[in-house]
Amino acid sequence: MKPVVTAARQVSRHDIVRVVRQTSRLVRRMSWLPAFVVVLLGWQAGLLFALLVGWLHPAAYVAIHIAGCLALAACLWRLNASTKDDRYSAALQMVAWSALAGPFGAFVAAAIALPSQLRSSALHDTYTDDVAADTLAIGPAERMHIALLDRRVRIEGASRINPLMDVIADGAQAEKLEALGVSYRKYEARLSAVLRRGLQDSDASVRVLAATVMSKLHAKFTAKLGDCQTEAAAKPTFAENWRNLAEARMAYAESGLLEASRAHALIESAVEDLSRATEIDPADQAVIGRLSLARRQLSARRA
Amino acid sequence: MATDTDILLPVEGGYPYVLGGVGSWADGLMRASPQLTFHIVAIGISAQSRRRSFELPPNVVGVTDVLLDVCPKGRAPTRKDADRLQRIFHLLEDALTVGDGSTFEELIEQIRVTGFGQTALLDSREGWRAMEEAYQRLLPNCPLLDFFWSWRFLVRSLLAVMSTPLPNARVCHAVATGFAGMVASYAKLAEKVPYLLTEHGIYTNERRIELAVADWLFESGAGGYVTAEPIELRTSWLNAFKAFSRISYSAADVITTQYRANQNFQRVDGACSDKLRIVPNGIDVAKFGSIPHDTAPRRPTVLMIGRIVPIKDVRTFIMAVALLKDLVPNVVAILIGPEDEDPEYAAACHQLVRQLDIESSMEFLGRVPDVKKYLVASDVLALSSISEAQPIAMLEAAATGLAIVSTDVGSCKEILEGFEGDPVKGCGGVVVEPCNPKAMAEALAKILLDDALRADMAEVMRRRVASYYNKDRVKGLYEGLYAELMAQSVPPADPKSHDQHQYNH
Repeated sequence: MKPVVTAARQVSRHDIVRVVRQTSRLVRRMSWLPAFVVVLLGWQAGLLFALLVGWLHPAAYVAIHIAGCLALAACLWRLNASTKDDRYSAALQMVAWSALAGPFGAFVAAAIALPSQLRSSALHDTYTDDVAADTLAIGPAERMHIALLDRRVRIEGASRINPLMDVIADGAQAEKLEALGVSYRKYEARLSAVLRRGLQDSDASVRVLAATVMSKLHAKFTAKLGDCQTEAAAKPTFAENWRNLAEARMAYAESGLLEASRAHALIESAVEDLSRATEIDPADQAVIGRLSLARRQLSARRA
Repeated sequence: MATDTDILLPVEGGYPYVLGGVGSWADGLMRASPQLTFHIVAIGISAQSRRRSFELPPNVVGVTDVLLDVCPKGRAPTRKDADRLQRIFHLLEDALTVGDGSTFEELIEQIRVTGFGQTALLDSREGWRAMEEAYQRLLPNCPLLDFFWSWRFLVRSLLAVMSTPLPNARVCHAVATGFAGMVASYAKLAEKVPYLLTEHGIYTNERRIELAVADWLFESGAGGYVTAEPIELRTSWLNAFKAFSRISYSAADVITTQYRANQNFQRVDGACSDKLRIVPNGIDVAKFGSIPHDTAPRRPTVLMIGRIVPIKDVRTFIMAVALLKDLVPNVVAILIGPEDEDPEYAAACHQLVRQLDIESSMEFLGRVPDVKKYLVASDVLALSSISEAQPIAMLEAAATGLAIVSTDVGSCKEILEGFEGDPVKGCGGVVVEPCNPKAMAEALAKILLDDALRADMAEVMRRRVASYYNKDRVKGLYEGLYAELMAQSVPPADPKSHDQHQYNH
C-alpha cells in the first residue's frame, strides 16, 4: 500500500501547485484589461454626469467624447497591430461601443468581451500548464507506457515478438536463422551470447550460420584494425592515427567476440597506442580521458 | 534418334571456370569414367569471367554456357494474348514461390507454345502490372525498386534456363538444386531425360546463409525483430531458391548426397524418401596410402589445406595456433592453399599473424605442386571451416594416415567418428565447435603431445577411408546409377512434333 499512498500525496501536492500557478498566470495575463474597463466606464460616466448637471455644453461634450474615443482607438489600433495581443482588440471593441453609446456602450462591450477573454486565458493556461507539468513529471517512455495501458496506443503484433535469446534457444529453424541474421545486421556486444548459443545448436544449418556470422564480424573488426595499423605505421607522428588505432582495438576487445586473454591483450595494446598519442599531443584531453578509462578497464580485468 | 552425349552435367557458378570443391569433384567424376561422354552446362552471369581454370577431360564433348541475366526477347504480346499472359504470370510466380513440378512443366510448355520472352513478360505494360501485383502479394513493405530488380533477375533467369538449347543426353546429372537443378528439371520435363541430382551441401541452406549476411539486400525498419512474417527482400530470394529445390526434388528420379545428415534437410525441403541415396566422395586410396611417412626429426607440425577464404575460417586456425604455442612451444603450422580468390581476406590473415606475433610458427605456402609431400611430413591435419560437405583434403590426409582435428561441419564428424553400420570402429581425430580457437588449440595439443593416441587415430582414419571413401567403390556407385537411369531413358521426341504442337495451340 505504501507506494499508492505516496503516489496520492504526490498528486495532491502537484494539484495545489498547478492551481496556484494557474491563478497567478491568469492575474498576470488579465491585469490591465479590467483596469482599462474601469477607467473607460469612469471617463464615460463622468462626461455624461458633467453634461447632465450642465458643467459641459453639449457641443463640448460631443467634441471631447469623439476626440477621446478617436485618440484611444488610434493608440489601441497601433498596439494591436504591433503585438497581435487579442486583449487590445477586446479593448478596441469596448472603445467602439462606448463611442457609439457612451457609458452604456462601454458597459455592454465590457460585459461581452471580458468573460470570453477570461475563458480563453484560462484555457490557454490550463493547456500550457498541463503540458509543462507532464513534461516535468514523466518522461516519454512513461507517457508511452501510460498510453499503452490506457489502450490509446497499440503496437500491432507486439505479443509475437520474442527476445533473440529466446528465439535462438527455443525457436523453429527458420526463426533461429532469422535471429542470427538480425544479430549480424544489428550487432552489439550483448548479442555475442546469441551467436555462441547458435554455435551449439543441434541443427547444423544454425551452427553454420552462427559460425558464418561470427567469422564475418571478426573480419569487420580485423579489417578496421588493419586499416588503422597501416595508417599509424605510415604516419606515426599523427596523434589521431594512434587514437584511432586504440579505438579500433578497444572496439574489438569490447565486441564480445574474443576470448578473455585476446581481449586483454588488445586493451593492453590500446593503452600503449593512447600513451603514444598523449606523448605526441599532451594537450588532447579526450585522449587523456580515454587512456585513463582504458587503464581502469585493464585493472578491472586483472582484478 | 542418336544422342549427343551420355551425361549432361549442369554446374552452377563453378566448373570449368572457378576452382573449388565442387569443380574438382566434377572433374574427378568425369575422369573416373572415361567410357562415358559428358556435356557440361556451365551456369553463370554475363559479367563473370569465362577463362577456364580446369583443363577439360578428353571425354567432355562440349560446354554450353547458360547466362542467367541473358534471355531471348521473344515476340510482343497482342490483345488476344491477354488470358495466356495472365496464366504465364501466374505460373512464373508459382515457380518463384511455391515450386511445384507440374506447374513448372506447364510453364515450360506455355513459353514454348507462345514464344514469349523478355519483351512480353518483363518489358511490356502487362509485365509491369504483373510485377506490381506480385509485389503487392509477396512483399508490399519492401521498396518497389528493390523488388523490381529482384523479380526481373529471377524471371530472366527462368527464361534463360528454359530457352537454352540443350544437347540430347541419356542422363542429366545436376550438381546441386538451384539453377543447375532447374536446367536438369527442364531437361527432364521438356525432353524426358532421366534426372540424377547430387547435392554436396544443401543449396537452400547455403543460400540462406549467404542471404542472412548479405549487405546488398534491403533491410526494413523491423529488422531488429524476429517476427512470424519476415518482410525482408531476402525472403523473396530464399523462397525462390526453396521453390527451385522443390521443383528439382519433384522432377529428379534419384537424389544423392554424401552423408546422412543432409538427407534430413532434403526431406524437410520436400524430397521423397524413396529417391534418396548416399554416395560419398571417393579418393585414390592406393595413391595416398602407399606413401611412407617422413620419419626425419622435425618440429611438431600442423597442416591445413584449403583456399584462404572466409568460409575456411583461417582466422580461427591462426588464433588456435597462437594459443597452441603456449601448449606446444615449438609447434609449426603450415597453410597450403591459393590466396587469390579473396586477396583482402588473405591480407587480413597475414596481418593477424603479425598482430599475434606468430610469424615464426606459421608458413603460408600458397599453391603447391604436390600436396602429398606435406601430408607425409605432418603430424596432424586441422580443418577450421565453417561450412563443408565432405572435404576431399580431409579424406586424402586420412588416407595417408594423419590424425585430424576438424570443426563440426558437413560430414566431418561422420568421417572422424564413424557412422551407423561403419565396420571400422574408433575415432580418427577430434571434432570441435566452429569459431572456437581455444577448443581447436586444446585438441591439437592433445594429439601432438600423445604419440600413441596420434598413431591410433591415424590407423583408424586409414582403414575407414580405404573401406568407405574409396574412389573405385564410389565410381561403381555412380556408374550403377547412370546405367539404371539410362535403362529408363526414352528417345527424345522429334523436334517436328514440337512445332506441330505449337501450331495446335
